[in-house]
Amino acid sequence: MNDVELHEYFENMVRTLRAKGVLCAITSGLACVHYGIAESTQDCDLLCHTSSFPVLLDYLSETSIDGQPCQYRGNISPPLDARWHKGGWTSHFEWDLGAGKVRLDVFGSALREATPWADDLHGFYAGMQVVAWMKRTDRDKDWPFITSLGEQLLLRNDPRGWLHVYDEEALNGYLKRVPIPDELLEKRPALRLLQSGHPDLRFALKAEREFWQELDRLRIRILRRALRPFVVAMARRSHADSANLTEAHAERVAVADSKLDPNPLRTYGIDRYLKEARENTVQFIHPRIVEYLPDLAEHFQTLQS
Amino acid sequence: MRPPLTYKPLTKEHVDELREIERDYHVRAFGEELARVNLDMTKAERIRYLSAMRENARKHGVNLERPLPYNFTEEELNDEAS
Repeated sequence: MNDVELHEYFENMVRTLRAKGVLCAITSGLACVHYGIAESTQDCDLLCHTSSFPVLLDYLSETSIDGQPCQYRGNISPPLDARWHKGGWTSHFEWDLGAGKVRLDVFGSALREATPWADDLHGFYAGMQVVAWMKRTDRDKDWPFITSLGEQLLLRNDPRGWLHVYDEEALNGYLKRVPIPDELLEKRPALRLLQSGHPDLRFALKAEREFWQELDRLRIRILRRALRPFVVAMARRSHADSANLTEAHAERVAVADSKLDPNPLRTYGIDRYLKEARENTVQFIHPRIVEYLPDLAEHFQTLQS
Repeated sequence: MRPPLTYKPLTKEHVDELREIERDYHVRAFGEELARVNLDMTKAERIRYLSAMRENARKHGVNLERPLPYNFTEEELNDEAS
């Protein structure tokens, strides 16, 4: 199966799953390609409501690509189970085609979402805003995609685009043509600098981005630490994963039960996590810029519950 | 958050202006070639372009594997097993 066929394959997967009543949508790289922003990936990131996991697991266990079955990605993938996904974990699957592997990552909740992702769908895809929140990673390469998604929202007359444009020149261009709603000025204080034509805008834009990236770095560090006992326990089993995905899943759940914290960020403390990321960010920026860092607590509220 | 109802529909002239800002950004962020891939190609053409790009990369030995999550490395995973 070539890349073109794979793209169609994943769209058909969503179509089939939805026909079975599964609430799901493609996000991240393939969604960017759909929205007109070329990202080189053949792997699929899928958002799926946790209540639909049993149906998704059945589907994956019955589905093959080029005759190869779907399997969990080695010892590193948490199980496809609501207990862990509600705590921010992702499940990783793959089809080993010999010449290469096709990968599918499943998210029960959209990272950094402030509102439910299922309220914002676009055909087979997660909405632009959802994709833009998920793209706020520690990887520099993801950031031009966020601005592009913000631009597309503004082009569709959706003011939420103002939350996602990080390019000073583009922001100044839009300012002359698109009003900024007051509620967004509260959510993103750096937009006040844009409105007033203040030269500190470019420093505030860098500070915002650094804050998001620091949050992601810290999140990865916390999850990595929490995942290690699970990875060790999985690796030290006396046998490999069953070729049957349903059986492999049951065993993975049993290991996770005793070895994987369902919600490491909550264990760490969401407030502590936000505070630390903010303090680390402040080390990089001038004190006069600190007031323009946004309050990002709403993006981690779902992990509190 | 829903868009405020006070936003007026965009005129064609307005859309053209926003598209110009968008194109300028794509050229700055991704370069001229990818700006054209993004803004001038259909989705099907874009997917074919990316597919050809990846195929060319594979032929030249570029590793296109998705990295392991949480910054784990294969070596670390092998160590855990021993």
